[in-house]
Amino acid sequence: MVKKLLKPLASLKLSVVIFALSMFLILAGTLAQVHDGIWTVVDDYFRSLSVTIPLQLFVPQDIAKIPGAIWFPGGLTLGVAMLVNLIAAHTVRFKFRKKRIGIILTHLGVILLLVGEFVTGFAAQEGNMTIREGETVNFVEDIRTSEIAIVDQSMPSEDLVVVIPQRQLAKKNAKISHGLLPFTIAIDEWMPNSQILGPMQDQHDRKGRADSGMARELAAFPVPRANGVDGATVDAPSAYVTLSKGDRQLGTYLLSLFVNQPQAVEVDGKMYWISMRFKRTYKPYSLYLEDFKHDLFTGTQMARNYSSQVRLIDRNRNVDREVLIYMNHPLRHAGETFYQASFLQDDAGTVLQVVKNPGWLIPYVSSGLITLGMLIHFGIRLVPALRRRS
Amino acid sequence: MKNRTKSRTFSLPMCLVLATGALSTVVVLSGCEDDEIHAYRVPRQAPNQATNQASAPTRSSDAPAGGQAGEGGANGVSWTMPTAWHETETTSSMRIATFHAVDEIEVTVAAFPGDVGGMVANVNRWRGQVGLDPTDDAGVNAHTEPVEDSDVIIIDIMGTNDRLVGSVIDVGDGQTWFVKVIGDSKKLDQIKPDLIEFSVSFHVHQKHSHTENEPAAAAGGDVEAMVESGELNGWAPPSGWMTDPDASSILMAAFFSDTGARITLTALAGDGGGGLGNINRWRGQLGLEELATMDDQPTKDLGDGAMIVDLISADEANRIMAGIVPMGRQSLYFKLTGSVDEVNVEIEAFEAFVRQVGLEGR
Repeated sequence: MVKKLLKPLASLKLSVVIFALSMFLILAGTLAQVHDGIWTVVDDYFRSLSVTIPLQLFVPQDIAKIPGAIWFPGGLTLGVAMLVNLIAAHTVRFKFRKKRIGIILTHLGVILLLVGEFVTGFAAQEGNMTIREGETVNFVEDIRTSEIAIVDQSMPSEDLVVVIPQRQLAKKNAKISHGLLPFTIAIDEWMPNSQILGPMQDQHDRKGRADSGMARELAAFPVPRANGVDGATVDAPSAYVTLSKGDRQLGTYLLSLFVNQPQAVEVDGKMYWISMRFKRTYKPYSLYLEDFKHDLFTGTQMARNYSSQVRLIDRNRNVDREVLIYMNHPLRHAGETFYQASFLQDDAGTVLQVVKNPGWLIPYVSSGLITLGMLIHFGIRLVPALRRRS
Repeated sequence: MKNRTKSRTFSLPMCLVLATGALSTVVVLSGCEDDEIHAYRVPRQAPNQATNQASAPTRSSDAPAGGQAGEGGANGVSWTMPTAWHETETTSSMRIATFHAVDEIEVTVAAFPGDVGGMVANVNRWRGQVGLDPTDDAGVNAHTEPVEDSDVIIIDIMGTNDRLVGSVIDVGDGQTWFVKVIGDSKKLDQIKPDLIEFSVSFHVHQKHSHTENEPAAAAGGDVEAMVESGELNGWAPPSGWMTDPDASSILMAAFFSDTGARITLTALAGDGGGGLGNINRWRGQLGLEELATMDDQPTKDLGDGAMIVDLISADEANRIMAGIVPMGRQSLYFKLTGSVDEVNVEIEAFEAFVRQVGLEGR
C-alpha cells in the first residue's frame, strides 16, 4: 500500500524534472542578484516555498521592456521534493544487496547534505558584535535585517524591550497594535533602504513630515536596495511612523538606522524610547574589549594584522577569561564562533562576526559518506573488472 | 502456524520519509516565530557598557589610520587637527566628528550629500542658531569669506549673544562638509585661525591599499620628486602663462594667462573623488544642475582614460574647462577658469598642456 502511494514520487522522470526546475531557479536567482542584494535573493529564491520571477530578469531593459512575472517553486520546495523523491525511490526499490552498499552510502550522504542545508538555512545565526575599547557588549546585531525597538526604562535594574520585526514594518499600510505595545504604530512610509537629508539640505516635499522627536529636522528618502556584493554596503532602512494611543495622536516620527539615538515618546506620564536598529539578539555572556590592535606595513595603509584582546564573562558557565581573537584564530564559546571581521574607524573598536550553526558538522559527515560510498562502489566494480581482464 | 508477514511499515526508508516530513513542517513553522512582535528584559547597562543604540550604518573601515599626531578623518576624507584641539566622542547622529578647542569650546564636523541647499540656506540656518532672522543675498555675502586657492568658505556671524564661525568645504567627494563653532566672540577670535587651517586641510583620502614599497600619494605631491622619479612628466608652461607665486600648497601648479584666465593643476590620491563627483562640483560652481551619470556629460576623450570637460554657466558668463587624467594610484586634475572669452583663447594651449603633463610618454 505504502509502496503504491510512493511509486509516483519515486519516478526517475520526476527526478529529471526537479533537476531542470532547480537549474532554472539557479539561473533566475543569479540574474536577480544584479539588482537585489545577495541575501534578499537567498531568502526570496532559495529559502522560500515559492517565488515570483519577473520576466524582465531574462531580457536586458535596453533591449525590451517585458512586463509580468511567473510563479515558480522556491528552493525550499524543490529541495524537499528532491529529498522526498530520493527517499521514495529507495523505499520503492529498496533491496539491500552487498553490491549496492556503495550507492546506498552515496545517496545517504546526499540526503544528509540536503538535510544539513535545511538545518543551516533555518537554524544558523550570524551577526556582528561591535565593541569599542573599554566597552562591554552582550548582544549581536544582524545587519541584514532591522527592527523597531521600544524600551521602557522605568524599572530600576532592567529595561523592558518590545521589538517589532522588519517583516511587520514592510506590510503595506501597516497599523500595528499589540498587547505588548504602549501605543499603536501606523507605518506611514517604509523605506527598505534610504538616505537622510540634513536640516540644511533641500528636503523638497519631505520637509516636516516628522513633527516629533529629535529627528524631526531630518528627512529620509528611499534609495535602491544595497546589492550586498560589496561587504561594506548594507541596507539602511527608514520609516515615517505615526504613534497614537486610543484617539490621541502622539506624533509622527522619523525612525531610521541613521538616527542612532532612541527618541523619547511620552504616554500618560511615562517615557518610552523608540528607535530603529539592526535586529539584536542578546546573549547570556558578554565580551569586554580590553585592547584592539591594528598594525600596518610600515609606510603604507595596508593592514598587516588586527586583533582583539577581549575578556569573556559568562556567569552561567563560570567563565571569566581573557582571549585574543585575530585572523584565523576565532573564539569558540557556547556553540558560537567569534571571528575577527572588521574594526571601527580610527581603530576605536572591533567588529566580530558571530556565527552559530548547529548543522556545521553535517556537510563534513555527508561529504565523507559520499566519498566513502563512491570509493566502495568503484571498488566493487573494479575488482570483477580486473579479474575479467586477467 | 500463523502466517505472519514481516511489517515494513517502520523500515529505514519509511523512517526517513517521516523524518523528512516532520523536518519540513518544523522548518516552515519555525520561520514564523521571527515575524512576531516579542518582548524581553535586558539588565540595565553599566556606564562603560554599550547602550541600547544601533550601530551607525555610516561607519566604514576604510578611513585612514591617522598615523601622525593631529591627523584624522572619516568617510574617506582626511584632515589635520590643530594641536590646540582634542577630539571627543561624537554622540549626535548628524555629526561626523567633535573636537574641543580652547576652554573646551566645541567644534563640530558634519557632512551632507550634494550641494546642501545652497549658501543662502546654510547661512540663514546658522543665523537662526544665533538668534538672527533670515537675510537676503547681500546680507549673506556680508558673512562669507572665501579662502583663497581653496574650496573653503568661512562664515562669520555675530548673533544676539553668541558668535558663530564656520566653514563650508567642498572636497570633491560629492558631499558638502561643515565645520562649526558657537561661543563667546573673543574666544572665537582665538579659535578662528585654527578653524580656517583645519578646514583647508580637508582632502579626499586614498582608498586603495599600497604595496609595501610604494609610498602613499597625497594631494599636491612633491612635484620635483615626482618628475625626477618619472612618475610625472615635467612641463614648460605655454607662452603667455605666468606662474602664480601665491598659489596654495595644495596645488601642484598654478598659472595666470595673459588674457586673465587661471590654470591650476592638482594631483589627488586614487580617483580623487571620481569624475562624476568632481564634474558635479564644477557644475555647482557655475550654477548648473547636478548630473546623475557621466553619460549625461559630453566629454572629449584624450585616450588612456583621460578626458576634457567643457562647462559654461547658464548665463554664459563663466566657463570651466577641466582635464582629468587617471594615473593609477593618483589622478591629475587640470582646470582652466575664467570668462567665456578668456577661456576661449586658451583652449588649445590648455589641451596641449594636459597632454604634455599627463599623457606624453605613456
